[in-house]
Amino acid sequence: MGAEQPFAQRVRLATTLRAWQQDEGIASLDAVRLRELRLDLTASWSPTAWLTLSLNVPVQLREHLAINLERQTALGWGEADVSARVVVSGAGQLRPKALVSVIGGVRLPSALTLRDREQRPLDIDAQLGAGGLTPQLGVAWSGFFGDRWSAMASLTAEAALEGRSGLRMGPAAVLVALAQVQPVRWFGVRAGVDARGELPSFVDGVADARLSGLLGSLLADVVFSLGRQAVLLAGVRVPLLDTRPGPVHTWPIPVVSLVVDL
Amino acid sequence: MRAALVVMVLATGCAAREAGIEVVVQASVVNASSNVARLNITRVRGVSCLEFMARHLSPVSTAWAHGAHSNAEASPLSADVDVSLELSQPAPAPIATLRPPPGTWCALEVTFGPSASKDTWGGTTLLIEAQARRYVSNGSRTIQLPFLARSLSAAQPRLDLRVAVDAAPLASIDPAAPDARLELLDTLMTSLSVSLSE
Repeated sequence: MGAEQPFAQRVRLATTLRAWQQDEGIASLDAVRLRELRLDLTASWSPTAWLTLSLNVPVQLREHLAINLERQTALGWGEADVSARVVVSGAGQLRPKALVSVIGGVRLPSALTLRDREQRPLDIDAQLGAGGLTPQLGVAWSGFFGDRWSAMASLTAEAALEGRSGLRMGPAAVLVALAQVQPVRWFGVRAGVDARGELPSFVDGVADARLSGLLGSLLADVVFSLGRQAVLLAGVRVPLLDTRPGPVHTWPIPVVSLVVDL
Repeated sequence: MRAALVVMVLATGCAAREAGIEVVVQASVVNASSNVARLNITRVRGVSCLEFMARHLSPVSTAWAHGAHSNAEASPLSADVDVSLELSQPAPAPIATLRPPPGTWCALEVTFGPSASKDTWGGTTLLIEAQARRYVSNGSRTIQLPFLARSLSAAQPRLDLRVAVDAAPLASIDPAAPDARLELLDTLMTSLSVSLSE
């Protein structure tokens, strides 16, 4: 969702399920394994052919496993994204060759601070979000080449305010660029890159650069059209380039998504 | 009903914490001294059986119980502390709680060193006040206290280690003897033992 051509009064629903795992720290000292199963529930509405309003709410199941086998588990709503996409070029055309959009939004600190049975807050890494209001701004381009080929690129920047436990996530930029080929009407494949660059975070005003840097992943998806109103996507994000000082290791991320037009 | 329950759980969030491996180290005094006496602990470290056996099977002899050691890098097996143990008080005193990874331990290593306290005993490892005189040592000593191999795992996550300091030698040492300060500290090192419980 987010790169398609909007139509006036269209309502679109999507669910995206992904599983990620990240190992942080030194194995003999302070290693932590983070795992998450995340279900994004997205609804979008296009009141006109050039404007789309979206709401995304994630449901997250996160596990934080420390080196001494202490296990923290969190389940709940994550941080909701509210965004507006304005198509500034190509809107309203029957078969546009390209669409250019500007996207503005904000990530809300909607995830609660979760506490264990003794009312102690879980570790910040076990919480379902950093808890800081995060404005976002981006541009997106979609190109359509005949009936089979298309491409998409988007660049989004975000800068978080301070959240829970004195944590302020570093400003970040996310680049997604991919090409898609659809040999038959009901099936397509796509491949591209999904890269995130992040500046150091701050904890109580002290910089923490361990997870800052560039994480670039190869993305590969298969896309199935289920009739005229639904699309099923399955794919994987495989990290290939990682300049974060860490130590940190991100495992490949499987993704399944279903999009339905109402 | 079930849907309402799911929504309620998600709306309020749900969290759990399962404690991991914890090693609680305490120290206690037997034959408590009748004089004011303090012994300062600066570090405790769990010693894996692999390390313990390698050290004791090594053909190169080591004088492990004497002098400070410099391998004090951060580790989940160790904790830097600054605990002054009152040798006149038999009640156990908490030293540290370690949260190490799974493994098998054969010993606890304890380092005694000068206190960082700003009180009167600051800068001293051992302080005794007796017969209106003050005896002080600011040396450092590291000693390994062995015990029967103990596995730490998800099935056996908890271990309590109690270091016992027998203060009886303090009563028999003549504080006026030459080099009494060193002798007092080294004598106390020979009176240490460790016991463990689940």
